[in-house]
Amino acid sequence: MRPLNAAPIRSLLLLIRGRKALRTTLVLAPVSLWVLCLLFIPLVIIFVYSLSSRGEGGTIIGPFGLHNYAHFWSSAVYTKTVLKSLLIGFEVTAICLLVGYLPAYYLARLKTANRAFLIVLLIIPFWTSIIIRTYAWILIFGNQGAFNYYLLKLGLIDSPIRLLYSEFAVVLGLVHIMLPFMILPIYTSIDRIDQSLLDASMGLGAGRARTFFEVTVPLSLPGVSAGCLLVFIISVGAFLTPAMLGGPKETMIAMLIQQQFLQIFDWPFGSAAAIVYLVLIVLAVFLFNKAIGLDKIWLGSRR
Amino acid sequence: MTADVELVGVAKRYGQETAVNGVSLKVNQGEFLSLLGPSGCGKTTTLRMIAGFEDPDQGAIFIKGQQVNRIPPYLRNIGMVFQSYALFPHKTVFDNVAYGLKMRGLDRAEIQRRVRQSLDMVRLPGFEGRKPGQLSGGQQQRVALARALVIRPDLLLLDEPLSNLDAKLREGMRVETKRIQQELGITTIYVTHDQVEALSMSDRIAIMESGRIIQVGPPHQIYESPENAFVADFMGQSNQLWAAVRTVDQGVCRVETDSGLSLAIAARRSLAAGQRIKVFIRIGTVQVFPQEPEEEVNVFPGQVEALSYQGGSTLFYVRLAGGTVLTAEQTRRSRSGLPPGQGTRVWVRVSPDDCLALTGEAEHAAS
Repeated sequence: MRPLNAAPIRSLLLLIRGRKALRTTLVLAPVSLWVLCLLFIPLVIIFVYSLSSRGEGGTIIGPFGLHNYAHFWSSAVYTKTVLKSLLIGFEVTAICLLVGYLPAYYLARLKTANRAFLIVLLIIPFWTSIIIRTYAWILIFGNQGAFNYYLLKLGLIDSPIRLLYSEFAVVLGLVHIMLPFMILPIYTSIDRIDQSLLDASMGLGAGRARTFFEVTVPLSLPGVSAGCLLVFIISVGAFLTPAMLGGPKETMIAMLIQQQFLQIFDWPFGSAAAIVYLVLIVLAVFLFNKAIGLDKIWLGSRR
Repeated sequence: MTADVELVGVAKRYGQETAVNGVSLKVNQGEFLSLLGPSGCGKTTTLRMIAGFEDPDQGAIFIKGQQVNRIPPYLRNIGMVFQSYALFPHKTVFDNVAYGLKMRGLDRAEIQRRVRQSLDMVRLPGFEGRKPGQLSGGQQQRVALARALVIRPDLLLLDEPLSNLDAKLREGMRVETKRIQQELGITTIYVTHDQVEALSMSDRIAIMESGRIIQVGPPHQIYESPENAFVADFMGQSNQLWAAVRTVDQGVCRVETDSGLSLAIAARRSLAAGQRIKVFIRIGTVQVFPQEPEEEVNVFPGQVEALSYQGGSTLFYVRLAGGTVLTAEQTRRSRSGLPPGQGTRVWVRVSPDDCLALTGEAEHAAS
């Protein structure tokens, strides 16, 4: 191996030494460049597109203006899609919270070696592609799927129930995929609760149930809100699951955007839809933070 | 006096580890008893079993004559202050203190009255609306104490409540805690590893080591008449010399240390010639003289090997003939007239009454 020439490195280090600003810049440079090139610039391009018009064969031409946005809001199909996306996001979040809280609590309270194993079980689904996991539901709930097969065989129904291509199927598929995103943050925040707080509560006369509602639940709220935020944002923007398990009525905003770009070749309108979606999500996060302000949990009124 | 708390042969194991190994103890009504010992000696586990957070594997615990082994903590009516204070971070000071009252189903007016009274007692009036995160360590400690006492518990348990405070504040809270305890006359068990806390606050001290109680008694007895080497070593700072008993005569006993020093000691316990013992001499009882003193008993010439200035006092390390190094703590007053400095020739004297000879388990425990 050729010996490494240290001279250039040394001179570089000499240059950095004692210059805090330069050092900070160098440390932040890669991530700044990443955000600039892959997030900010594309967003600006999308925004500019959203102000343009569609030309012959999907080209971008003038005139420029807000007409795409006006079209989006004036058409019931599109506003319905937005509302449907938000509704499905809300349903998925609520069900994930209801279904996920107890497993998270159980995991956090488990003080044995099994815990690591159970957490791995929770993460294993991430190793499989979402497409495969979603296809599994088609095999289970399809007209010839396992569910209908056994119901028919047991004589509980005369003809297959139509379960797929419905809001039920979309929500179920999304809950299945999103559940770990709810469980992990809640688990983390319950795990962080000091055992002595629970002891203190019981010592003061609160039974297990009251201790749970008075101490554990409020102190797990940071995890709950982190989980809800994650699940909501990802669910509202879901593409694959509604595309595979939903019917025409379950068209969600990501599908709408994809159709505009790749099927209709109306990039300007697709861009406008993307910007609307972005603004709505930012607004939702903002409102959410305002409603369940995390700092409020820890700080009281100063007198 | 009736025993408010009684432990009979209580033991607790965690897997292979024995945390508490057959502890029996009586705490009288209104008494302030400290469980004192190094970390890992089982004192906190003992306290947690009394509180009901741990179930003993063996033995029985009685509170006010009733066996409580199977009674969960929320039915025991015990006030506890935790080392970390364990204040609910999401609740205000008022809600923290009111918590136990709310659980007891008291009406609002009564809760308000008692919370106020309780915050007055710990001298924190007007702090009701704050959250624990906005309080200093000392204030948090007071709130924790108020919360534990507001429920009028049968028993107050304190688990190293002062160990997270800085030295100055700790002293103030020591006095304060003791004042409140005496005002209420509440039976109190106090866990600490700090001997100064235990000595200054307690009616009685129970010294724990390796899951056992090895000596129980009032502070002065624990300090002045330790029953074995562990207690003698743990309480205060002592010169420790291995020695063999030469002669025993009318309560005075001559011993020869391994380094060849011939010492007269007061034989407070039955010592026999030929026995191996360990002699403990507290550093504060060793006197240092610039000239040869007139007494003749236990006076040894030596040389100041090192000095360590401690502020209120100075530690002298004096090397005697035969190589023994004695540590002597001299306060400012007793040091006056003494030529300071390393290498100075001095005489040291130890009173036979200040030499503690410990045998048997002492050798076993300390070796």
